[in-house]
Amino acid sequence: MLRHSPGGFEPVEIALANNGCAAIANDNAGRQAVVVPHGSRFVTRMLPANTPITMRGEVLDIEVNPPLVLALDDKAKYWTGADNLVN
Amino acid sequence: MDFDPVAIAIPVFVALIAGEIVWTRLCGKRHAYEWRDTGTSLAIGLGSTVAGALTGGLTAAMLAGAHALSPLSIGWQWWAWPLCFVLDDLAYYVFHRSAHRVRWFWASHVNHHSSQHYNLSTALRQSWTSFVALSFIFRLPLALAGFEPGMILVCAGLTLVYQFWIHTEAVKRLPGWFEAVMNTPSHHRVHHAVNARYLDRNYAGTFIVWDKLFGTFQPEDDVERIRYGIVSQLGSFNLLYAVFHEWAAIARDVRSAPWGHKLSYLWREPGWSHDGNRETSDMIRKRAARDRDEARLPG
Repeated sequence: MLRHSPGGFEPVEIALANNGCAAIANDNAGRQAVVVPHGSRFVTRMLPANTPITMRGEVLDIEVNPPLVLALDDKAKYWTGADNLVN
Repeated sequence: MDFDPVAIAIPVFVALIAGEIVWTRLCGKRHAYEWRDTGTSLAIGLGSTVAGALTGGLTAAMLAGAHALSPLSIGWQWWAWPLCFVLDDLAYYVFHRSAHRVRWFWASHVNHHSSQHYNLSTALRQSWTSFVALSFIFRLPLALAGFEPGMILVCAGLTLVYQFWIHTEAVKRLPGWFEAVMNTPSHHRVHHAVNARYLDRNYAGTFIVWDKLFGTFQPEDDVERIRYGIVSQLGSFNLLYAVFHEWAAIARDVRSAPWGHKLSYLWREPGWSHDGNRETSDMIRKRAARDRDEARLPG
């Protein structure tokens, strides 16, 4: 799915949400994308550069419109900072 | 002529959708229908009927005006009906191809492609803004050629009715001769796909021969799973967003573009951008082909 994103997206790191219904990924270019459910299908959302991602417990709050929440357990911290971006 | 094939067909459409829902349940294909998606499709269909009622008179007036200007008048001869139907289908092909290649027309047509599902209810996602987008201009040549406006509108309605039943995964392949000449569920599944090699293919209304003639035909592959929708999936069941999102996007692009590029955001293909940071369907197709070639290289 991510590979079919506009502009192409080759994920190099990916984290699956606890319920298996969402994921966050980044690519070699440092871009981030999420896969989220939409009805009985999934959609990919490319996150604009510098999208605020904050941690609330073991949950990621992603400030896009509409806001996204991903429960990732202990993996959540990794996705909150810019230091996770692969260069 | 007051005969409106679409109005007559609406109860049949509803019955066939109900039948397909039952069929998907019986075959264990429950995910073929999603109630919010179907609800959005029905609402868009209802809205397009209202929009059609509001603007249909203006379209008829345009055709009548063009017909009045024409030195030709074919009249209501019996042979004019099949001829008008075939030529109207050609006009539909030109319209439909333009609707995918010119962003102004795409803004009106995109809601037909906005569902990630492919079932009979998807067919109801018709445009609310086709008159504003000037879609009627594609049928004016028929009126100028001397065909009666009423005949053109009936043929246009029949073309639209024909296209309803091809929005289904229930029918795999039909007999070879039929697949060769007519638009079928298989051909139209390709048209609704966002898989790179299927993008902007199979524009036909009734006769698939136009695509074969003009080089836009792509047969369905039984191996590659089709993904339906639009390149940037909508991700929303909001009715107004589904109908107007591309118009709003055009307005944003025109407002923010440099002066020399503003008009290009209206007439260039969807995905075009003046700084090249987006992808058109041709660019997506080339990227996918390049990725395939690289994957084949040894090492």
